[in-house]
Amino acid sequence: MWIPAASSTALRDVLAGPVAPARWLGASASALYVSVDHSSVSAEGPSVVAVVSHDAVRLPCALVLPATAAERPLSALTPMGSRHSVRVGAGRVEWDGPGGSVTVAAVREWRPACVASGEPRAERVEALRTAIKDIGIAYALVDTLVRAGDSRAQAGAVADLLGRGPGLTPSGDDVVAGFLLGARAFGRSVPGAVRAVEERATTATTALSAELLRYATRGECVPEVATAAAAMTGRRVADDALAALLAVGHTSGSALAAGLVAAADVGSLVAVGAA
Amino acid sequence: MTVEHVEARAGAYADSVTLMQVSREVASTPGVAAALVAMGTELNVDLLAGMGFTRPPSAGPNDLLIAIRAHDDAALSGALAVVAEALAARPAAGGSFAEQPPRTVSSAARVTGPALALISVPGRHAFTEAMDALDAGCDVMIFSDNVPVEQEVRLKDVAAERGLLVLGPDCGTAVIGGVGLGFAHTVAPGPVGLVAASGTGAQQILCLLDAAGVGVTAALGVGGRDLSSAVAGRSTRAALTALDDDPATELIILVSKPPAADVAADIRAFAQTLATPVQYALIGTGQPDLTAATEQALGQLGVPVPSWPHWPGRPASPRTGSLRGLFAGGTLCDEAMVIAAERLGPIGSNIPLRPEWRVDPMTSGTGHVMIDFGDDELTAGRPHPMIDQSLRLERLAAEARDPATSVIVLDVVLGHSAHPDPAAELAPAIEAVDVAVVVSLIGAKADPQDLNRQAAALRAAGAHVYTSNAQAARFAAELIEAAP
Repeated sequence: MWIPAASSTALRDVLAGPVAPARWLGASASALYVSVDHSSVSAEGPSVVAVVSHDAVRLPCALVLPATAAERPLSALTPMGSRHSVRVGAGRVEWDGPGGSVTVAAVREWRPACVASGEPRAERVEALRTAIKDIGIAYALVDTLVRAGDSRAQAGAVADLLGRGPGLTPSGDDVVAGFLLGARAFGRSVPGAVRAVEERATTATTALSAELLRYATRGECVPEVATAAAAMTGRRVADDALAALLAVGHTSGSALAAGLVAAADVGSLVAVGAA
Repeated sequence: MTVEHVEARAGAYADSVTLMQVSREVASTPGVAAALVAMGTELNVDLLAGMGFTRPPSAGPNDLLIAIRAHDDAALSGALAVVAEALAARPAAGGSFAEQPPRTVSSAARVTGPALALISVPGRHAFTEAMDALDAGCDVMIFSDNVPVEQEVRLKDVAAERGLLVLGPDCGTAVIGGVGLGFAHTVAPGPVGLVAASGTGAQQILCLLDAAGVGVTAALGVGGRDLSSAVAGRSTRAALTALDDDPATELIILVSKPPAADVAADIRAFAQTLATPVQYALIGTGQPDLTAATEQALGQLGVPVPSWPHWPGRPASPRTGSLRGLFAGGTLCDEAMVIAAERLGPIGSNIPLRPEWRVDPMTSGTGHVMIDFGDDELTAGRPHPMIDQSLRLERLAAEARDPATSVIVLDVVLGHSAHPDPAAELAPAIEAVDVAVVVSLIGAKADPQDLNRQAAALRAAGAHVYTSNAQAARFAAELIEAAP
């Protein structure tokens, strides 16, 4: 089976490279995740490739398929268990599915969303803060992150969030991703958080989540976060954008929003560090 | 006495909420003392240890931890069955075969949620379909031409009230979310957003940007009449606003056929209020041509201007006579006429720069003449000349037989939906004539027809091939001036 897909430009190098073995990280009706063996790809290249349905959350590392999860449930295309091989490269992701070989081919590209810079407006920060629902973990951990008085304390607060929560993208990581993205959007310097992610994410959390955190350090994210950040700085109308972010996943949207709000709240640590 | 099961399962995964529910469900199973089902992150492994479980020997963050402590073996196997069932793939919802497919734009939009509706029906039906789409909350691209201008204004007013966008009518090309619609080139994502009241004008700029290695966020065609007095830039404003709101768009290029002067002035004033800089490519005397406007845009982006690819043809010493232009693209024809008229004087046309320069497109005129074969009048009942070249090929031979013809200039537009191999037909036709032929070849590097192969074939037939329409027109005018 040959399925055309639109590929994130962030996957350009890993997809254009020679065919490399990869392994399954997970599968659901709307998304498949594979981890590409780094030995045959450049060290800087992405290590996780997602194949997602048209209606799934558009991760910056995704190949997007034309069909929705209801029309073509992806879990039905994947073999059960982890022993089966999957290959990535030459513009394709390929595996042996239950009904024969499956090839997802990148036929066009799209550019992942990126947060734009601006100063957050107080009333919009408050609107988002009050709309946040269950973030999947204790909110006290977010408060600790906001209150961290110096770079070391901030790194510690982030370390306490990384990998916290049961899922493939744990809620604590969503908070950290929102925080990094908000910091980038609102011009906050957060060296402690960046360092903690660089040093610890690879071992502290799942491969997919660590990858999304690396994207976040570059400002790249799902479109709902970029739009919400733009709404917070007044670049666009607020209501729909904030609601759309909170609707992401079960708790992810609220956790990402909590991170954005935390970034808006945090003062610059540069002065504190220097003092 | 209790029994314990700790497992790190590779390749298994469920979202956070499912795993929390599974953990709760298992923990409440009779005979179970403690349970954790979660990804094996460091914190979760610590949590496991904190609950008194044995650490699994080789759990990594990508493995699914399943840890259960039960009072006896029977309770444990019961709990494991609960986990297995909860993690089993649930059947996907929807997809019933008995369901009727949607019959209208609005019923389709109810199924998928509002999106972009592309309307391509005969012009007299386009209004009904477009209004149905707007009522369903969709943005609309109207590919159809021959839509009355009053209907265009009404649709655009309704769209403005609802915060929606109407692209077109007669919107022949668009790039939205990385998807090319209509006549579309294969271009990369990048920092430039295009607003175009001109199909082939947009195509020229997209291809020049492509040659310079610069991609686009979106190209929004607003219809060739949008900057006329009647429509007054309604969609141009909406499209400029949409691109201004897009953080990925660093620079907007506004391209149009010759606009109404007062509308152009209003739009410039409006653009001053935007945060994103706007570069203008408004065809007209005294305005920068499309190539110059693209070069200015590259300057604003800090990208060096390349030397635009061109393939010189047979050295020519053309006979004395007139310039004849045979265009598929209206804006390319307009641009060539503006450039040639400055040097050569009046240019007869079916889309003349001045009313007194109008000529009948189907009879060979006298003097310098440029015909737009893509004009509504010439496409009624037959395919567009970008798809079917037969009318232009006949005319090429006829013009070459006219002893008054000195130089022929024509455009060849590549990309999706265009002729799959235009040079295969054009090259023999060019080879057969003994006048100088200048081609402006509009294509992107990754277009399906292969830009370089098309250029090579046309050049081998003797044509002078330019990727800049302005350079092609200038070269053609120079040949006329240099003729004895």
